Amino acid sequence: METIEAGIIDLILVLLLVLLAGSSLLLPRLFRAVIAFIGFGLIMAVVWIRLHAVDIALAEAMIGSGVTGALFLAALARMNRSGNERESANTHRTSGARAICLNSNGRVIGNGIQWRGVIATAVIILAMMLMALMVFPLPEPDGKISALVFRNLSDSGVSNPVTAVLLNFRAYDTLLEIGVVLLTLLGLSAVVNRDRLVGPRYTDRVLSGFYRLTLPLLILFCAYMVWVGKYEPGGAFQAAALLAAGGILGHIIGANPRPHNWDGKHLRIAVSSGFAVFLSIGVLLWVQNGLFLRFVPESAGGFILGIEVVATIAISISLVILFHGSSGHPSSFLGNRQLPPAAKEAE
Amino acid sequence: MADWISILLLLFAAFFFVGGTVGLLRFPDVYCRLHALTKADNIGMGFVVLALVIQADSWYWAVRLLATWTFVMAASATNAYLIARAAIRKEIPLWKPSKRE
Repeated sequence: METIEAGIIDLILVLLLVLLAGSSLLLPRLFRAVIAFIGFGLIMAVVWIRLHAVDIALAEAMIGSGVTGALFLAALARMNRSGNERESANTHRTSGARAICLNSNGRVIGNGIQWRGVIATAVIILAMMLMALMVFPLPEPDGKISALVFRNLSDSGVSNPVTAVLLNFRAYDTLLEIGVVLLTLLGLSAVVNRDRLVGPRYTDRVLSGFYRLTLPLLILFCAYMVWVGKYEPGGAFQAAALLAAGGILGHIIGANPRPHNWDGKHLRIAVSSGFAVFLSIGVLLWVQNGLFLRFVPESAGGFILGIEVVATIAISISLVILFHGSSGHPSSFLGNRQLPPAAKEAE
Repeated sequence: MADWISILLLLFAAFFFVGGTVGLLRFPDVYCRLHALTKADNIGMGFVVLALVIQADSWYWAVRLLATWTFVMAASATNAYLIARAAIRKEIPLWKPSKRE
């Protein structure tokens, strides 16, 4: 591994990473900044693979680059749309943070831009120097922690050390992470402007065909990824991102991929189920074993798989609803609105 | 022997990737660039996958690699179509060779 060629490739990767990070922060056109951000996520995933952290590489590529990229693009499209609406109806003033520094083309306006760039660069350089100051005096990893993980791996109920850490040894952190997803959703439903939600606008045969082709495969891959997380890189967040990709695609083409009799109440139960089930299992284990989220080797595997399955479904639905909120599509979670007449005409 | 075939296939792949990149940078309009990028990437990726299939330990891995190529092709063809459609909707004109050349 430690050949000169590998070193050169690593160096190119790191330079690309810095370049793309800088571009996504400093490019004045938001669209280009978002594309740079997506590129950054993909290169980051390759870097994680070079560091032999395949689990993180998967999460970075799927959530960091894929779903987050889709959220950014949706928000951008929505800003452009509301910008056009503002031009056609001057009397209608838009409120909210999006109007502060952006005009209808997604360009940052105002004369402060160069200064902002300079300040941002200075802050980045300062932060990098601080990081270097903190990282370089760190002692070489002595392998004690990973030795601890591998020593206890047989008691964890799974054979993938990453899953063992995430869902058994440090399950508390993961519980809170799932809680963060739920909190984000609550925040979104509080700030989303229900009057401005419009219906799906994009119908297209090629995209629909692609959707029909890929949805079954995505569901299959999702199930595989949850299951394989016990033994190999995979897990709930990665699987949820796959399923969410299908959901987002479905909503873009207006297919509304969910059980037909579900309404807002079902969705709310579904998105909170991940956290609720995880928490209840934690309490159950508390009662059984005397400590919150203390697994015992006999039942750990089953509990972990159960948590992963429910969390996958909850997170994927959450991600799709986040996409709704960013793009301005209505969903029963955010409030069922009748389509405004203008949107009906647009379809 | 297998290694040499793989190297040859990877060189073909590199040729198509470089071609696609040059096309992306040098072609005159969005449609030509899209064409260069998508075609070259699909074929380039195909050669990479073939090179790896030769090196694969078992049929299981070979099938996995070929399946990956299929998915990438489906996704990139759909993407190319969507970008081209967006360009047409924005009424970006087609490039026409000027008469002088």
